Amino acid sequence: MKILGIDTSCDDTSCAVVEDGHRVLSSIVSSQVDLHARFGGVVPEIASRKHMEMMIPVVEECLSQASLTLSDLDGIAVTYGPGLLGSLLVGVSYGKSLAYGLGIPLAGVHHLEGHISANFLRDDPPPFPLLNLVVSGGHSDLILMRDHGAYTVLGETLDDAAGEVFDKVARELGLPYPGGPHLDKVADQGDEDEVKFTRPKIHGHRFDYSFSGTKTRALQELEKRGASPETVRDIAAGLRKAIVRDLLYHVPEVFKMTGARAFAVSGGVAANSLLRRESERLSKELGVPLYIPPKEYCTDNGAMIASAGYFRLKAGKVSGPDLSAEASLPLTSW
Amino acid sequence: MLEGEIGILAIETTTSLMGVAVVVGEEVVSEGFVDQPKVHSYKLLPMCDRVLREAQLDPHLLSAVAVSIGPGSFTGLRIGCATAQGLAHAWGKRVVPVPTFSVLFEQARRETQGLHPAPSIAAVQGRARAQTVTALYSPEGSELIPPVGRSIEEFALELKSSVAGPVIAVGDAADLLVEHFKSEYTGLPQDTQVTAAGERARLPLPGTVGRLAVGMMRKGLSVDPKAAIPLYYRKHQAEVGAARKRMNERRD
Repeated sequence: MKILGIDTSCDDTSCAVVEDGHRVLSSIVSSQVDLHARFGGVVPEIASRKHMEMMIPVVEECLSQASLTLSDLDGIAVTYGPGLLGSLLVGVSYGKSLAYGLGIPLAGVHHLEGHISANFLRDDPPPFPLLNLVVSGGHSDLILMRDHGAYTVLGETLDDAAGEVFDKVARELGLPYPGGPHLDKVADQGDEDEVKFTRPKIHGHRFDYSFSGTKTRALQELEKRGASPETVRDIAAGLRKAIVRDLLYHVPEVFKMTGARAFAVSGGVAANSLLRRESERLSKELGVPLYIPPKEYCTDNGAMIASAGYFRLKAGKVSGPDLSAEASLPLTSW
Repeated sequence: MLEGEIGILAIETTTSLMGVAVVVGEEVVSEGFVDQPKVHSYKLLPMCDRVLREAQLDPHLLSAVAVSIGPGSFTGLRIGCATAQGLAHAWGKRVVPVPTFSVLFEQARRETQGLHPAPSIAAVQGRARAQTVTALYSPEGSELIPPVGRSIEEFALELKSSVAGPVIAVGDAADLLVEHFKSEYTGLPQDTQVTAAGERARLPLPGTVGRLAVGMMRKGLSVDPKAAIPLYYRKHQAEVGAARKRMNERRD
């Protein structure tokens, strides 16, 4: 079953064709980084306009790389939320019209479900129950997955997402846009114990996250010490260490509580080198296998959406022509 | 549908009125529309399906998909264009990009047929201040003030100085123009007043989009689906802000 996956939830126009939920036949990501760089962040109206121009060229390139035509497709999967409403609407309107026109089933996919599915883009899928840590510019979530479509959100961020903090602090440190990956590189050369960050007090559910205090502390240190190259490196290293520590803090307890059989990390921040190393160390300690997608499937992509769509369609969960985009959308089981 | 006849599926989403029509030759075979904001995204495709069924037409027999490409609500434009792109791409058809001001002019022309003196036609789309686009046409259709993004106030001022006779206003911000004109420019002679077109002519209708598309199709004015993108006539505010900043930096 060949599924075309479409994601336009933020600033990348992404498409992929995935066979049977795990074999990637082609994957194209048209980045808008250069367009947004001069504004220091994603400008929603600019992103929406660019998606409109790039939608069909990206789909055509994707099909051409897989040596397929539209008539070879068995279904369309598209992200319908959460994300930037104007951007989502382009992908949803195009995707559902394409599915209707071709007479093939449509699957509306939750963006988080997509990130989780990035770990299923492999021949040997993770076992259930699977504990997922999904970390990106918009999310920091601990999600237990008992089967495809069976999710329990155990923890989520009460304020900023981890990726958002990396990006915002990087901008203030004067690092190029997008800041997260640059901060990761700079942190490698810093002293991670020079600037210390205490663990935040959480006033929500016991497994929830909070990163706004960590962000404020980083910015205060920057103001106090000034932005010398050495300080930038040390703040980056200290911040990275604190965020990774907090992200993984409750993982051992959650494993004990849930009996999960494997650990999966996904989302844009899963490309962070320290998070990858520390997750590796922790899973060895816990004696569970670790799943982290290759870096190209950590950031937004169409392949993860196609995979999630495949499992939905296989379970008979077909979306109707009235599917619409939702800027805010809780992850629910189906 | 007879052999050689042009058949069009037309989409209109530029204002609060969202609709679809099937037009064959000169005739609107089926048409549906609803005037309700924020429903376009989930109601448009089901309406395409319903209108096609009512027309009892296999979509593969269509000549093209037509879409009203603006100016209008930015979000509405994108929902319409992305839907037209998806359908045309799937069916292997071309897209007829119909300028929305042509649609409004055509509706105003029909409504004012036989009036003496014939009114000029002011087209005003975009109720959100940052999205307003305006233009003025002579009764015969020549462009007296070309479409450009600007405020109702600026347009009204130019309108007052460039038109002597009556003006009929169309578009989803027509009432705002009329109100502004009435409150700012009192005491003008009766025959230089700006009045809003009637309900059926004020907002662009899918049937008109389809009828104009048939004419455009005959002239070969269709595009590959990927080129069916909106005519905004306005840069995004962040771009405008950045351009202003660059200008100020140069001045400094």
